[in-house]
Parts: sequence; C-alpha cells; structure tokens
Amino acid sequence: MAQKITIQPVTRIEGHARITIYVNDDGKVDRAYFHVDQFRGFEKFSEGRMFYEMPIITPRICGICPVSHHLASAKACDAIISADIPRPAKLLRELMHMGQVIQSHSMHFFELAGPDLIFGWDADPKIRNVVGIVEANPELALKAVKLRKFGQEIIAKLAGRRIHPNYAVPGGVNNTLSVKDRDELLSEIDTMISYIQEGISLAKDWIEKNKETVEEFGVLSTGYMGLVTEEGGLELYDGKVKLIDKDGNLLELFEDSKYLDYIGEHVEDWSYLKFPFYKKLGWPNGVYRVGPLARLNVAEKIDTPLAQEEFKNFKSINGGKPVEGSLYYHYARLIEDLFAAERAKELLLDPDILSDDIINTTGKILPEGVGVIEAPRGTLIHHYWVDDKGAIVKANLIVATGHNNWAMSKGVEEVAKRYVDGKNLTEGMLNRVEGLIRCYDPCLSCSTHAVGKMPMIIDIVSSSTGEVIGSVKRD
Amino acid sequence: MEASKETSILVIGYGNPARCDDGIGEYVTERLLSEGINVDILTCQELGPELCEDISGCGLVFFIDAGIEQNEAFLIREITPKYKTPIFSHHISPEMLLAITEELYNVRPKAYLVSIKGYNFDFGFEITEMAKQNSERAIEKIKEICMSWQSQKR
Repeated sequence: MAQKITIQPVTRIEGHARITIYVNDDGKVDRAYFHVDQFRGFEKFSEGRMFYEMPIITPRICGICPVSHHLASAKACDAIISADIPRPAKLLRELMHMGQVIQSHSMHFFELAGPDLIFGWDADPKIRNVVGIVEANPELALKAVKLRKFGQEIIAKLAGRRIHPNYAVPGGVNNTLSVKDRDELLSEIDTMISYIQEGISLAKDWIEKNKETVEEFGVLSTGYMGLVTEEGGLELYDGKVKLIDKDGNLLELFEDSKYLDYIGEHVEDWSYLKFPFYKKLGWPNGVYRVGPLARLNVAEKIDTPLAQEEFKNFKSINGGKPVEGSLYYHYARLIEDLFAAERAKELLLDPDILSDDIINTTGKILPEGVGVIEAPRGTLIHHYWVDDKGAIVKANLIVATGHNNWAMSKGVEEVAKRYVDGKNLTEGMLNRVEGLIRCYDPCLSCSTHAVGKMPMIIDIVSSSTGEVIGSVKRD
Repeated sequence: MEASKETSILVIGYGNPARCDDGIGEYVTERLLSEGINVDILTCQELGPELCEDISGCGLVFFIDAGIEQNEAFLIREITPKYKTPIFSHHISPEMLLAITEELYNVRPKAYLVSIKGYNFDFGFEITEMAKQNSERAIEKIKEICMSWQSQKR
C-alpha cells in the first residue's frame, strides 16, 4: 500500500509549513511537496491604513527580518511621496540593513545550518542543534552570539530598539547617528569580520570534505534574480533587478518599479504561498531562485576586498556559470555576511553618515509606490496603491520565500527521492529533507509562538486510506 | 543606583503584538513599566540567543508569553536550563536560552516562565479584555515574587 509521509512543521525554520512525501509499495518516493499552510493576511490587513504607517506595521510580518520589511516599506513610501532621500539618510538605512544581514546570516549559519554541518545529518537530534554546538565548541558559539548581537546593536543604535524598528520614514530617517555610537560600532567591526572569516573557513572545510554530497544535494536548474549595482556588483539595498537564466545568460535588467512587467505569480491548490515566475518564459519554465546563492550568481563582482576574494572562489566552483547546488547557499550566505560587515565599516567611515541632512519631504501623494530590497533571504517587494488621501487601497507583498517556493518544493522532492527509503525510514533521512529547506532559510509567515502551540510531528499516512500509520514527535 | 548583577531583575515579554493576544508579553512589560517597578525590560517577537548576554547579567528573569492550551488565567512556574531541539528555526525556548547562558557565561539566574491565557490570535493590535484581566492577575504575582526576591537579597 502506498504511504504518505508528512513532516509538520519543518524544524528550525520560521512559520507554519509541512512536507508530504508520497511513497509507493516498494518504499520508493514517487513525489513530494513543500506546503505552506499559514495564510498570510497582511496584505488585506493593510488596506485602509495610511501609507506612512506601513513601515511600522509591516515589520510585524516577521520577527527575524523586520528591518527588511521596514526598509522595503519605507522605499515604497518614498516613491509615493516622490522623494529622493538625502545621501546621509540612504547611508543610514543601508547601515541598518547591513546590521540586519549580519545578524540574520550569522545566526543562520552558526545556529541553524551549522548543526547539520558540524555533527552530520544522522547525528542524534538531541545534540544536532545550537546547544550541541555550544557544548562542542563554546568559543565558536560565543562568537556567533556576539555576531548576532553586533548586527542587532547596529539596528538598536539607529532605531533605539533591536526588534521592530521605527526609523525609516517616507523621505528619509528620523534620527542621526552620534559620533559616540559610530565609534563604538567601528571599534568592534574588525573583530566581527574575523569571526565571519572563521565561519567561512569552517564552511569551506565542510564543503571540501563533503564534495560529493554538496554536488548532488538539491541541485536545480533555475533562473536567478537579485539586485545589482550600476556596475553589476552585489547590491543589497538598492539598484536594478537582474534576472539570468540557468546558464548565466542575461534575461532582464529592469527598474524595480517595473517588476509586474516581468514577474507573474502562479497558484497551486496545495499551498497558500504563491509561486512567482518570469513571465516571458511562463510557468513553470520561468521559475527562478533568489537569496544568497542567486545574488552571487547574478553579480559580476563584490565591491569590498575580502568578500571579493571569496567571491572569486565561489565563481570558480562552476567555471563562472551559475552554481546550482542548494547546499552552496550556506557558503554564499557567509560571503554576503562578510560583505555586509565590510560594507558596514565603509558606511561608518563615510563622513556623511554623521550628517543631520536626513529627510526630504514633498507633500505629494502619488497613486502607487514600489519598494524593493534584498532581504537576507532574497528579493523583497512591497507595492502599495493609495487613494488621494494616502490610505492603502491595495497592497502586494512578494517575500523572498515566495520566490523560492518552487525551488524548495522541487528540492524536497529531489532530496526525498535520493535519500528516503519508505520501508526503512530513519530520522536522518527526514533531516536531509528538512535540511534542503534550511538551505533557503525560509521565513514563511507571521507565526505566533505562544506556549503550547505547534508540537513537531512527523506523520506517516497511508495515501489510499488516509490512516496515520506512523508518527514521530519532537519536543 | 543600579542594581547589582545578583539582585537585578529582567522581564522579557515576547510574542507578536500584531497578532492580538500574542502581544500579551509586551503588554505586561509596558504595564510593569507604568507601575514603576524596579526591573529591566526587554521585548521581542521571539527569543534568540543574543538574549543570553542580557540574561547573564541578572539574578532573576521572567519570560512572559501568551498561552493557548491552558485553562488557567495564567501559569507561572520556575524553569531551569534544559536542552531542547527547537521546533522553529529562529525561536529558542526559555529553558534552552537558560542552558546556552549557563554554558557560555557560567551563570544560572533564577527563572520563571509566565504564560498568560490568550483568546484571539488573529491579525490586529488589540489585546482582548479577558487577556488583559488575566495579565493583571499575573502582574500581581510577578510583583509579589519580585518583592520577595528583593527582600531576600537585601
């Protein structure tokens, strides 16, 4: 009898998700799906709100990358009031964004991906977690904590709080950076850069020792999308949107406000999360990936010296063509982490960062505005339509995890087919499937974390009868 | 005068205020601040490892969260370090946070988890009246523990 194996929710990712693996009578995987069950109601919730409230409301979508929503929202608001923000305000926003990237990327590698890499896929789940890392290598763990705290300190020094900032406003920012705060951050930055370099060494060592796995795990042929600078370099705050095909050929380079001309959204009845695709190639040929791996695939260079050196190594992996293996997301993430720390240093050393020329108001209200930013997990799009008073009549948010939706679902299937034996199921097999998802570090929804909610359950269900024939719980 | 590390009290309210009663943690911290209680306050959407440093600097810590599957208006229990596999990536349980704190900083503050029953977790910023009433009862208990703690440490 064919079986359906359901993993719900996926451990160590944010939000409500489920993996279903259909297994035939021989124990072989027929197909697999990555479902997102939680309905994201923020677009509807936003209607009727004034546009200038959105930079405060939308960070509530996520507790882990609120700054990205805050800044994408502020950029959309800039467009609505048709404001060119002063250079110091742009530097300050970018600095805040670098803080977000540092804290998010550092946490992901050291605390979320790290356990699989350090202890192995089949290690006892009791040690295969952040506490296991703390016990095995407390020095490394302390550095990871300090990195995350440093990223959050940048955010706190600008916005006054680490979570859910109130800093970027339509036309600029609402607070200057003091010399004292600038100097405090500068005093730590070189240490942070050295910590990230240690992480990169660890990742490269792991890749070297596990080359076969890395080259076969979740390898997908897709397009890639990300922001780039005018000169084609890695860009996280601003720039044009670049789309390339699976071979690295340029498909499009467009202004972010034109995204609807290029990106469509497909819907499947088994997931609440939509599936964006490149319109000219249609669904599903136009699927693409975003996030660290995609950004390095679309970039031609990185404008900070240490990250550029690593970037050259990254580009050599596939002879200059796009790197396809999902596990390379971890390496790419750390290269971006290094870039973010170096870029933060450049920003802190820029004299304009201390300027009080931080806002430009216009009094205009245009009917719509688009804000795009590279969030830690990928391209984040905020698009608001407003009435003549500035009240939101419609909002469209495309989150990074949405862009990667197809890749995660297809990757789950690839990995399940390769590693899962339905007749001899082990925790390590299922952890590999979850590990594919963790490559993308998805942030699926504004989940609640109330006490007593959502135990970790893996159900094995007969697809023909619907009967649960096996269940694994994690507490 | 600042409290010493041994006597200082930290209250961490966590949850998502945009999900109605999930914002109980933040609501309680605001209420404690308004009453002028001599405690340090932290609010966040979820617990992360960077909180370890803050926790290592206090003698008593409260974790305030919304509760769903409980009948009581609020539950308060002393917790100790415990290693657990996290259910979600970016969220760490209070017990695990204490474990990491102990491992990294070699300190083990006294700790309580306070779960306050919530009723509505839909989108919105409003705390239900019942959840507010539950919070008030929890606040009285928190104040009682704080006073007892401080008198013991004098």
